[in-house]
Amino acid sequence: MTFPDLTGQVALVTGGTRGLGLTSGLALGRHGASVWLTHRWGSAERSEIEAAFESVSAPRPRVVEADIGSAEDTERLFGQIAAEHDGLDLLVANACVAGVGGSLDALRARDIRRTLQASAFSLTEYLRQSRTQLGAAPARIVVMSSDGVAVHHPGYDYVGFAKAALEAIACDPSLTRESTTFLIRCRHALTGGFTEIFGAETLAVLQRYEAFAVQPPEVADVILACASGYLDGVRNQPIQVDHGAGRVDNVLTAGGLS
Amino acid sequence: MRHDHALGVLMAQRRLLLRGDGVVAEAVERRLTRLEVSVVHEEALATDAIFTWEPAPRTPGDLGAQIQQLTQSLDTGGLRRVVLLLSDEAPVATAIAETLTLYAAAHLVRKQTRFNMVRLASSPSASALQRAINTTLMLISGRMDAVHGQVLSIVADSPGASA
Repeated sequence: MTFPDLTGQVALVTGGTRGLGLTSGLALGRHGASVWLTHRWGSAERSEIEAAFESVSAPRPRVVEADIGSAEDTERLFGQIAAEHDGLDLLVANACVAGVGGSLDALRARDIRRTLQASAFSLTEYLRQSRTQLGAAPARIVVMSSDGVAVHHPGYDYVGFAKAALEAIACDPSLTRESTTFLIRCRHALTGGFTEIFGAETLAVLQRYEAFAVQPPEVADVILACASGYLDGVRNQPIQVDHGAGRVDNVLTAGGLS
Repeated sequence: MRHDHALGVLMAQRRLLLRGDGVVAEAVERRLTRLEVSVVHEEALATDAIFTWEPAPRTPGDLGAQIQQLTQSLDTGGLRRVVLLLSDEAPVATAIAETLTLYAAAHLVRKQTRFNMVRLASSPSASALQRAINTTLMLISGRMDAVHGQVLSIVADSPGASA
């Protein structure tokens, strides 16, 4: 017996074919959910993903090419879901399309606009399509965010903007009347893209504080807890997934930990 | 709750220490009994612990005693997961508990112990109390071991969704 038993539930994970998204999708499938995974063009190896699900006795996932920034893709995605299901129990808003930040004068309005549209405001289109084609917004929404909305991380400017906007959109009263929304703020999540976003020097710093490195399965466990319904009482507030790093990450304390 | 049986199986190996004497602690104990989770009264036998400050400490002496009892358990015991479940009956106690959570978490970063706080409104409704207990159980369950030093506040009734 597994906890929670998600048999009969339908879960959609955006950016679900690699990293945190894939690990989360696998965890949801292992607990019985029918899982839909989205990806951008060319970023998924379908047979490998299906094999991974089969290896943990999870139902075969539906893998759909759907760019979160494309309204056409979103409409088509929800049409496919509606053809097979009556509703969506869980949406994991995980995908993020953003560049790597740098100095202040390197920030470009065009890139910021594109990032916000794809990685934050796309949520409103997902909800619109869910209401239109499935008759209701998802019962629960997990927003994958990070403490980068409140703390500077090297190279994280664009992602930070996107996550701040995503959190605000997800917690808008017009949405929270319909859905139970969770904000998961990961910190130091060691995914394959860590070096790509933060750079090798930042990875080296994290390796000095390895007790704070968060592994993808730990994040997936928290998503399972959200899916179970047992955390409904703590919706609409950040749940920091960071091994307590946020409590010691200051100049005076951190120096004694290295 | 739909998943209670499975949660009970997940937590079958836990031996929970429950410290508190009021309505919150009684509700927690009833729920644990339904889940068939062992409640122990000797700290040495416990794997995990739930503290409820009831009645809410209001004087410096009472606050000092509660803080010392909790921090000694965190520091010297072999507890894996500890939750402080507190209703906002006494603002000073709540304020101190939040800061205590911060400091205790920082002191514990090198240990395996996970310490978090769940904060309830004063005179909570029955449903709010159950949601607080659900959150506490999740923090004890092992599903949220990457969460440490958090203060999670129980909000009003959920919009439709239920477990």
